[in-house]
Amino acid sequence: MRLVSLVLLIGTVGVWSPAVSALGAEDPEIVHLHSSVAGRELQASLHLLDAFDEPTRLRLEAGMPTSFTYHFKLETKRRWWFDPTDVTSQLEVIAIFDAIDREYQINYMLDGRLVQSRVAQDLRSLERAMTVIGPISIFELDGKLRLRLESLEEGKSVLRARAVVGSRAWLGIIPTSIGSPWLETAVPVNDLSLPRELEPARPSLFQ
Amino acid sequence: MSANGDKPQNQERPTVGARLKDNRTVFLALTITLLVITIAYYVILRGREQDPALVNNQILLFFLRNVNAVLVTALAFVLVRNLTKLWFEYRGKRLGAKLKTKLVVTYIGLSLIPVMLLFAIGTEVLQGSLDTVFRTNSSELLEPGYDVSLALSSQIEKRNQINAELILESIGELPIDDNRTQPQLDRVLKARLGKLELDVIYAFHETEFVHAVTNPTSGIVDLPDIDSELLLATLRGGRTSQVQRLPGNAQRLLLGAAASEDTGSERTIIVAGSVLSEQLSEQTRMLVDAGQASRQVLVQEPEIRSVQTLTFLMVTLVLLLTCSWVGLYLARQVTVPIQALADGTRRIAQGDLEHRVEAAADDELGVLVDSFNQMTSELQRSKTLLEESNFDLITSNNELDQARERIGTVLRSVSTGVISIDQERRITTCNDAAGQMLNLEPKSIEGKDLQAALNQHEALHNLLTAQEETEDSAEEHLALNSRTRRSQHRAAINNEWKTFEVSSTPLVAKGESRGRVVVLEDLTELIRAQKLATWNEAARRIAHEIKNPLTPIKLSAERLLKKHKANDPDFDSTLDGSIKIIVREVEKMKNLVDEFARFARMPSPSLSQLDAGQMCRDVVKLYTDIKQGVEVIALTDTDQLNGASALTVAGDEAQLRSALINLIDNAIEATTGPGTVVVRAQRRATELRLQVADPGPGVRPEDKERLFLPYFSTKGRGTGLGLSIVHRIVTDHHGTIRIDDNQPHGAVFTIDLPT
Repeated sequence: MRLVSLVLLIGTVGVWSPAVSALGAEDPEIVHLHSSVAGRELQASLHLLDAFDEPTRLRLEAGMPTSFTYHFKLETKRRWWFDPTDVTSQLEVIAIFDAIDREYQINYMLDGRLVQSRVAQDLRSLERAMTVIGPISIFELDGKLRLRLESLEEGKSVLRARAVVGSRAWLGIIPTSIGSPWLETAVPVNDLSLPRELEPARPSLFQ
Repeated sequence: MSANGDKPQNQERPTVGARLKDNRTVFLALTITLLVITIAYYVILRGREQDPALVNNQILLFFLRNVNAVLVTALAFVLVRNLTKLWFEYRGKRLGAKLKTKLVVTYIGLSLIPVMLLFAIGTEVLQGSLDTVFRTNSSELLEPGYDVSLALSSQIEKRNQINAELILESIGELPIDDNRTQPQLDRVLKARLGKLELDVIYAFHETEFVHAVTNPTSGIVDLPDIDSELLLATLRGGRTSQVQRLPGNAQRLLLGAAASEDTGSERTIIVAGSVLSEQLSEQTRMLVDAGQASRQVLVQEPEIRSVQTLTFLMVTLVLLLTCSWVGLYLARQVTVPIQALADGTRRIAQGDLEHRVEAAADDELGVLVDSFNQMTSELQRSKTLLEESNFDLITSNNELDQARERIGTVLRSVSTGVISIDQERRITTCNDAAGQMLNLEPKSIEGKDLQAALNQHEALHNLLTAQEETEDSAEEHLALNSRTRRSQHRAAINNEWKTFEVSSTPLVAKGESRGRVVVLEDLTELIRAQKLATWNEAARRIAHEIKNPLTPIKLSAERLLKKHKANDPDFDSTLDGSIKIIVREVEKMKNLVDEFARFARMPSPSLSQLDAGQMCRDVVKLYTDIKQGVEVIALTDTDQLNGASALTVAGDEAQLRSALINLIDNAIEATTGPGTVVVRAQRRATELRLQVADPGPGVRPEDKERLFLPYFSTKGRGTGLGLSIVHRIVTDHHGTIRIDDNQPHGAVFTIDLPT
């Protein structure tokens, strides 16, 4: 029985130790989430903290592709059966280091579609480019969605966001994502009725 | 499996089915395990042949971790399940559990110890190898090359920044945004291009392109565009650098940019570039790639170590699981049949002969199981036969008991005495009637030897001995089969003479003597009644015989009286005739009375030793030539016994001679044709036998019983007292007389006299 116990102990330690060590990592957090209406589009901006840690920097310096994924949801606080469903979007920021050119290539993909690319020359620029997002148009407000938002009072519709910066295996077996908790902000539904000339200019993706 | 020739189907098939089921499970598990190992190995090999990043792929890591988790779970399940089961069997003292424990512990020990040693040593070796790989390749070889290549590029870029500043100084205050100064600018740039050994020089007014010159030997065909970011960064920082790929080839353009001082007016930016040769570019790229790869390996060192360790652990677990499984499987292959045999033995010992061992085994244990089942089948068949025989025996015994009970009841109920004697001459049965007749307790002689019983009971001795003597011999007795011999004998019971008819019937079964049955009939009362009846008959006959002469006497007297009264002249003649008639009839009456008086007054025999043989021969001489064609002969034994004739007997010679003469007279009278009357005298065990045999027509069976009664005659004449007198003489001598049929015809009178 001691031999069996030894085998089980070794197996358990070998399998679960990486998972246990990963549990101690600090999770990222989204701050300054804002939403705005620009014509027929809903824009969002945010700042991600504690995502650009040492392992991420080492991965980038080693030339490994590294991505942060931002998930957005448009929801109403009191949901009705006729409310539009699956109003979600995701922005994936993928960075890769070109050691010969000594520059960081950054690609922005909204719902799987490349919307912009840029190059960062240093890590500070790269971190800012990957963690300071927006304002960026994430939803097109059209048809039923727009009508529904216009029918709501201010503060009844919210934009929720979450960032996923990696993945790990819980207990070494079950894959889980490393990400921030969901954060929400009110959608300025009153701005939907502004005249077009008063609408804010369409901003760049970067500040 | 069954053992005997007729193997029951329902015992053989499930065994094979269970075996197939087990094998399918084992084969399926092994196949899945091999498949998993093969896939894992394939992924690892592909990872080694391609980009190392693939080895560090999270999918592979996830896969390995999960496979290991499954293997650990499976191993734990198999071990815990089997060991727990074994523990309970061991604690429950189940037969065969100790052997199974030893086998399982041996198999698992044999597999665990080497595998664990292999894992411990192999892990250490693997970690050492990984340390060597990480520390040697990454840190000592690749990183310096990577740094050198980057330093080279950086140095060229810095030199180009300086060159750009020098060019800015050469340009001075020349307004480069003025088209008229373009030739002068071109001359200055070209001069600096040759002097500073640059390959390309760009001039920008703020971010607006103004002019550019290239070295014709640099290989630049299409002038590459300068990134606005570079220009903006230069404006912000005063100088900056950048590496740019040349379109159409692998050469790289190392740019260094410098901006004129910020004096509030529009600024000039000079970008100086040097083309890195294709060979140098390739070498630099290789060094950088190698360095990047090394860094990637270092970054993913924990994952790589985990992958390697987990892979090794997976192989170890697979080996351990396989060894344990195979060990348990082999142990089960041995212990299951043994346990089944042990269980079968126990159940058969408890009487369950229907049980069959169904353990599957193809080896010697299978032969043992088959033999066990065969033995069980034989036992069951024997038991069945035994039970059937026992049932038949019980049935027969019950029937015998019932028959015996019936016979016992019959024997107790009948007034006839029954005594059975077996072939060992032992009395097996004596009913109550026999006990009463012989004045003995039946239980006192049952089961006893006949001779002992005879010695104990005189009456029984007399009767059975006399009966045995009437039989010719034991051999004759057997030859007679079931022929019953009857005889009458007298015996003194409680000082009273009684007459018995003794019937002896041999018991013969399958040609073998099983003894005999002696039936006793007490004839005393019957004979007494017969005597009474006889005397009644005698009185009637006497009255009749007397009455017959009285009638003529009466008639004669009445006629005389009538003649006398009538003074009949014939009175005298009538008187004479009547007196003659009266005298004649009176004479008849006198003879009749004399004869009866002689019968009635027959004196008791005066016994003396006489030679019966001589007596016979003397009597036979009287009948020489007495009847035409009839010869009377005497056959007598001449043996001597104790110096005297063997035919000597105690008797009244006159009476016996009279009886013999009477019998010979009847025989001669019965012999109508030529024939021989034989008079025989012979000695038997305890008696003397006299026989008179004639070749006449014989006596009808219905007459035989009444033949010795007084006044019974088959001849229609005579007094009918002859054979009665003979019977009287014989019985007065305590003897017996009987009549049998002579062969081929005729009658035989046999007189047995006790000696």
